Amino acid sequence: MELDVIQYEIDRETEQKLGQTLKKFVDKSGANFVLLSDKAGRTVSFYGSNLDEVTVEFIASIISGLFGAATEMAKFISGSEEMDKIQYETKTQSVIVKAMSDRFLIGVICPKGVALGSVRLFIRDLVEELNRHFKEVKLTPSKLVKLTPDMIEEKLNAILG
Amino acid sequence: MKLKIVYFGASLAGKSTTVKKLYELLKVKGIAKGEFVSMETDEKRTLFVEMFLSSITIDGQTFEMKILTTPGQFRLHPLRKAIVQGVDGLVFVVDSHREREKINFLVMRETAAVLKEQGFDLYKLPVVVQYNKRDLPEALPVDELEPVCNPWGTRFVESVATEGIGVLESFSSIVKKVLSNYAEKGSV
Repeated sequence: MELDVIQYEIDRETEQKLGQTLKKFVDKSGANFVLLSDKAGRTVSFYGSNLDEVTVEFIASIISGLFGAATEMAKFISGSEEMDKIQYETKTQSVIVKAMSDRFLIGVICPKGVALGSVRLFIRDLVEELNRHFKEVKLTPSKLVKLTPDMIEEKLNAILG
Repeated sequence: MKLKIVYFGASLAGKSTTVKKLYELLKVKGIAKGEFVSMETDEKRTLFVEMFLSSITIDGQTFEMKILTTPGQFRLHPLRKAIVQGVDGLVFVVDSHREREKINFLVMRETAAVLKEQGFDLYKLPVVVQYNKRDLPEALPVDELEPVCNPWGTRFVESVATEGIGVLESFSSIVKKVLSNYAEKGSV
């Protein structure tokens, strides 16, 4: 039996729109960094802080874990499973993690001096704009790899030894 | 394609050792990316998560993989729930020591309950069972562990993680299972 492994990617146009929207958010809000990821901690898009992609993937995982852990804490305290956002501070930075629908998270890091009230307002606008982009998203198969389970094993053996 | 692979199992079963060894082995092969990230207690026990990134290209298709461990200590149950969100494949690291047989089973049952709460069925997810600490004199025979620790009847790997034995095999097996699982669904 031959199986198809298909990767669906967000179309280029939507990808660009997401990037531009995140950039606009950083420019307007005074934040250093903004990250859009899914709740499992997979990066969708990010902007700011000159961080490399590997570091951003780690940040996405930590944000996902923090949000999940905070949700569990909320359940213990109030019985509620709803968690909209978490916010914490370091000596120099403020961090906000905001849920977007039940699938995505937005992570924002900004300098301590930035007014968080206005950042939260900008995040609200950001969520609306991102939601508009996601409504227009076209999933396109970017690559089709035809593999049998034996072929997958053979190729993995070649790579992993 | 981005994949999330989680190593779970009882406290002190060898999850962290397995994942650290795996990182070292993949780093040598040039397919581990960046650093090994670890959040642990002062006693060197996993507090939250340990993770690293790897990337494999097959026929021009790149598969980005995030490999994570769950904390094994019972008290860290809420954090385990946070880690397994959206998992694509699991490696169940079993402590082969005969005194740990029951705890292995309890962890598996707990993980099934956590995944069920998140809308997943542990028994339908891609899973590989890794029987660790096979070098211990007190290790139970695999025949005795199988009925308790492998309800999937899935492929198992015998390992001595401290020496890196079986570590690549279990990783290779879970990647193959995850890819085959996606391929059968026809889409990602």
